[in-house]
Amino acid sequence: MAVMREKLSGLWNRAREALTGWVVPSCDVAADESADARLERLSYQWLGCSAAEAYNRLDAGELGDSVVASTLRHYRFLRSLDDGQRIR
Amino acid sequence: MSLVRRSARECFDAWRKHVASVIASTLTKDQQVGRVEVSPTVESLEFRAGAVPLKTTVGSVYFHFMQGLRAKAVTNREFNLELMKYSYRLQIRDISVAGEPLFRWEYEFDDQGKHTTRPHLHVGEKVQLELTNSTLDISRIHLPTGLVTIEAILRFLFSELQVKPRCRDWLDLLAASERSYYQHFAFGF
Repeated sequence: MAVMREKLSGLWNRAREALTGWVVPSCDVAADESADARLERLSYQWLGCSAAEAYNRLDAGELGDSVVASTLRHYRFLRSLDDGQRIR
Repeated sequence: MSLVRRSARECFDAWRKHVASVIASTLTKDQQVGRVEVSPTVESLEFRAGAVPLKTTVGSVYFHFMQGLRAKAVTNREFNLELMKYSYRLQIRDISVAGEPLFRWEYEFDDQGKHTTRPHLHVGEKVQLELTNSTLDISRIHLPTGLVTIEAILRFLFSELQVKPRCRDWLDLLAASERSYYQHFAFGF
């Protein structure tokens, strides 16, 4: 039954894509990346340093209102959320 | 009304599907929307590549977005999805420290409801408004907005900056997606 449903879903998606050019995005079961891994990767890619060093530069005011700064602040904020409570 | 599902994972999946669908159908199918896990109940949604280059009336512009989401347990079998933070950003350069941002729409949950964390807009970088006896740096002030949806940003890109949409019925698609948002998600503060 599950196999049949999957086949029908695939056929429907291909038909819709052929008719409208709209690709139905896949919906992953798991997240694509962990925040730690992404921050470390982006810090090296953007600044050539570790995430810890990137946060030091952020706190020293070196990064201004850049995307880099925005991203680091984004993850710092999200880490401060814990099971429905903001840690202050 | 806000989204309620049986698990945090289902909440995140439903929201990602909503955002990824409207982006794939109107803006780009090449740049995928990815989920970044902060904890089992906190995730971030953003372009996997970081930023998407767009051709506009003012040349190439990079579109960058991040949404911070939390799935909060309302009972032991129900989770409610909350939008805790967002950043929609258009800038002249790709990821760089200099940046040259054109527009930044931002919001961050704050239980004290401070003006600077409520939904707001920054315009440009060092944009001076000359007044009779002084100047005002428009880019530094927080211009209040309502909660800005991804559909509103896409509509702005197509209507005002002449970004080429992927389909002719983009107005209808955005309207339908926005209706779905208000019907199924509609984040509050």
